[in-house]
Amino acid sequence: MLKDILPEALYTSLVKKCLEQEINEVRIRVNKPIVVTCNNKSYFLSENGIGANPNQAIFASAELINDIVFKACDYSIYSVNEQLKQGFLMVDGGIRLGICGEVVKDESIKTIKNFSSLCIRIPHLIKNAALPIFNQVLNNGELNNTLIISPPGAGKTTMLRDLIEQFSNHNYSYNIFIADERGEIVGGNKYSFGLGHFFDSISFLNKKDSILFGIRSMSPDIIVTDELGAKCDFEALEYAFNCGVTVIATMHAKNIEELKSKNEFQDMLQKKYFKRIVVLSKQNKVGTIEGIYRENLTRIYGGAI
Amino acid sequence: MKLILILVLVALCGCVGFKISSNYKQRQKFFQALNFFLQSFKTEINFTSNRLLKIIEHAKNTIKSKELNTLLDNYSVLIQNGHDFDNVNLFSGINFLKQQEKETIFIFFKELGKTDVYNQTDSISNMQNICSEFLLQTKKDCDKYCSLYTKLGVLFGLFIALIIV
Repeated sequence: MLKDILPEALYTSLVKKCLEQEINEVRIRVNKPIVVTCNNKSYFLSENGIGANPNQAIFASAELINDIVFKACDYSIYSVNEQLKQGFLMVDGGIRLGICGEVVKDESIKTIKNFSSLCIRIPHLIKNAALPIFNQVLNNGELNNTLIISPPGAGKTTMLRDLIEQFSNHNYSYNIFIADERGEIVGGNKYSFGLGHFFDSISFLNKKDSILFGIRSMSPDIIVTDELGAKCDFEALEYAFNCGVTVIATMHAKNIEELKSKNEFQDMLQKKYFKRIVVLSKQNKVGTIEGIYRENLTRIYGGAI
Repeated sequence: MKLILILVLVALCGCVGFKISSNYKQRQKFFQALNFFLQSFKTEINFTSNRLLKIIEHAKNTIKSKELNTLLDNYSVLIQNGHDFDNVNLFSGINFLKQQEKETIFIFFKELGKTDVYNQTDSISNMQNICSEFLLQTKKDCDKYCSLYTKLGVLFGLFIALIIV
């Protein structure tokens, strides 16, 4: 958790005026004030807690950032270099550290050094977040390939996690295979999210290999994956569809119009693979369901829940 | 009675001589264990990429040198608690290392875990080479001094026994 990666003094200041459960994000930049997003509002962090005054804020140093990264990887940079090369680091509990710095490159990226800023994103379990869409995913006993879309930070992964758990909550024993490319969905061994009783997961492997692996070795009924984007992701999904496995996935897109404009998604759209498309936003609050659509993009449900 | 006194004196002095010589054996054992730890560490990070503290925890079950276990415990505590990572704290409870050996080991542990797999492996290999030299030196010292001090102890005991008796 956050306490495991931040220096004690910093953590103590952080939780003086807000609970850890209320913190969405902590941004730490060299020689800049530390910014905390709490209940979706941004504040500066001072020794006395969060506040509006940047003059009283704690200014981060390069040493502080190095210490946090070192602690976050359990003092073992060698074990997380593959993640570092992609600019992030996953910590047990699903906390994601976005890392900026100097890229060391030869023919390909070797590592990042001289870290200059961190974006610490803290996930939060929201029980029953997926309840409103569960009956669309499992409709009259039939599983529907479902795509959840939203802009960044609107709760796609949170919704996904709860959706997985809802199968257990409703006593459905579908075998769920999670292709967890960034280790965000499951959250690690020490503080893993509930997710019910019927899931298997592979973490830190690209979606293509992960899905192939899962289908060949784990006989899943449902494959769950996060953040579709690259062409190979969709190719892997097509393989899953052709194997008769149901897919539940997420993707960045503000709305249906933006989704329609994505080149990589055209094939999926034309073949109508996804029977349900759920659009989320953070208009009223994170995880607001703006609409649910069929494969032909006709609206089943619209309006905030 | 005199015979018993002679025997006790000789045994005592022999023990003192043995205790002095055991220092050299401890050093040899330490560097043998350190070499073994470095090799298993190299294998672990290349094969499993396990986290540092987990590797240390596993290794401690097989390490035969009490002093190396102490060193690894000190290291684990220092990096987790954010205490001053210095020579004094790292080698607390270990008295037989020479200054040069301490400096070399300190530099290695200070940089441990801070680079990628390839550079970490290189660093470990370098340290293994240096450790092998230290080990060779301790073997030479042990061959030279271990039995010498024990024998000197026994002789000294006899000498004292002759004077007294």
